[in-house]
Amino acid sequence: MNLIQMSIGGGTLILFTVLVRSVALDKLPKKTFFVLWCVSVLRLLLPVSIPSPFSVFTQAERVLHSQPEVPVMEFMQILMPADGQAPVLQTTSAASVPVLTILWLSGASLLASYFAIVYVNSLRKFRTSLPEETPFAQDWLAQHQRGLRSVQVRQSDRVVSPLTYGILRPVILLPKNMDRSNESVLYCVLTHEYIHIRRFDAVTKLVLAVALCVHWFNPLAWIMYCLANRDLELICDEQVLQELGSKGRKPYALALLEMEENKQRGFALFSHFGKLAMEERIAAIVNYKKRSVFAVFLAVLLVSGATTAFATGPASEDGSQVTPTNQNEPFPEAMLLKSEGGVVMYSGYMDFEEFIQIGLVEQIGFQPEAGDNVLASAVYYPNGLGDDAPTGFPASMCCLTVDFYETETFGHLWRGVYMAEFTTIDPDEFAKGWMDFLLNCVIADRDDSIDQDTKYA
Amino acid sequence: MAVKLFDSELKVMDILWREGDTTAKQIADILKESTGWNINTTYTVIKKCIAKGAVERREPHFLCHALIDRATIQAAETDELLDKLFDGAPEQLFASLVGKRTLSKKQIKALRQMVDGLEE
Repeated sequence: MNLIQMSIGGGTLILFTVLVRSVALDKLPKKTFFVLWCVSVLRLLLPVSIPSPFSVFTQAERVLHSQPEVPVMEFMQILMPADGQAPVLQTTSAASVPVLTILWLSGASLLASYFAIVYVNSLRKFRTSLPEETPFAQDWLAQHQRGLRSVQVRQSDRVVSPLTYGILRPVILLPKNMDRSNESVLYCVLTHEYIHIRRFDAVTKLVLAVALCVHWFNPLAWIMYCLANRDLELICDEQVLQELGSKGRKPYALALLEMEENKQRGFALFSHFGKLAMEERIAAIVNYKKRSVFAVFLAVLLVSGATTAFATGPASEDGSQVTPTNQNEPFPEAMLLKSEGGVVMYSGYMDFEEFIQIGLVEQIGFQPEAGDNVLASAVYYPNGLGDDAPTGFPASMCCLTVDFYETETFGHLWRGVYMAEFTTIDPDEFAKGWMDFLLNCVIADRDDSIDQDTKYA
Repeated sequence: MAVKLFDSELKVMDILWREGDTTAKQIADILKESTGWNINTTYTVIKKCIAKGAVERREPHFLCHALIDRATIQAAETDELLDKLFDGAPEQLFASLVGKRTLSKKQIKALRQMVDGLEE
């Protein structure tokens, strides 16, 4: 599975979450969205997906597969210019992939270093804080040292609103100009921050930042980053109210507004975005009520449904590799297109073992040996091989060590040129199942295999 | 011209005013005790004082000498000196009660009215 696929997979889930959030933010427990964001982040960051027949991607592929012939023809033209001299290798654009990779890398590292600078600068600033000596805060602290991590409360004249930093040694930082005499506000603030600590929100925020750095090119990742950070606050608010009870709504909302007013002494920076976030929170607090069993049930159903539909990868109906025969014959049977001068070209479905046996062995008398180099290009239909297809050679060739050579995409089709080294020649170890690809194989001269890279570059 | 210092920097100045010239090492020891700062934090703050012209570094042993007295010091106004370069980012990275972006007075009033409707 490659990055784009991960981004699309995660993006779909983000889109779904955003939709649900906009419709049912007040109706579902806020933790629902936290779980959905977590699944989205996992989908964005983990290069694996569990195949499922219920996946939306399975459904999408079925639709795509209804007209597979057209792209094949397009590809054929690229593959087979008139002269027929190892055409694949010449048409591969050497520059396109590295340029994109470099672009992605520079974007990711730029964003990562921005985050790192902000983080380190802020930490350095926060570390110059002074101990908080208000008796109320000290008493509160003494009652909240249950966990393994020791919590500190400190004060700083360099922050405008209360915040928490540190994962292993969390510190609650209060602004110096905060009114310490209002114990209700102080209690709400400390409880809020303490719940952030207990929920390890610092870690969540870090993971969100990492996901954004990797998927910076995906606008949905930015939306997720903003909304998920907002939802962390909403969840925290919800949990505070669970502890304070329904009666705590008013003092808590007032504490929030108090803190907001506290910042007014500074430069006023009007932002529609900020307005939305704060209004969302106050509204959530005002509307807070204990969740009904039904809402919780609905949330569980929603999360499990969304996870099955969006977080899993495409699969066939019976969960195994698809053979063309049970797919309404959407693909052409393998057809020998060419066999001359060490080039064998098949189009359509082909078992790799079959390819070795019929294509290489019978057509050109090739007997694979350890150390042989085979330059092959394959185009995949997005079927059967699932998410794994574009990342490497088909599963059926996994017994070979395949050196990645180059890949190119044409719409949803993909072509890769590989240097495949046969490390084993036991045919039994070859293919199980079908390969839906067009294979153009050039068997390199065994004696000058070292030059292959440069020869076709 | 009056020098504006943060609370952290005032902590260092306090020691210099109280004890006279002190080595950075000694300042670090004192502040470790009273504020829990580690040695790097203290050195960062001392360097900031030097940069602002409040402290002079003398050798040997990084001896710190106060260049200004208590009367000429003015407490820094937080908002004026907050690093505006990265405005808006820290609250996304650190768990915070409220974000850094501020609402208008009118908006806060409207929200207050909403909250006032709640029973206590």
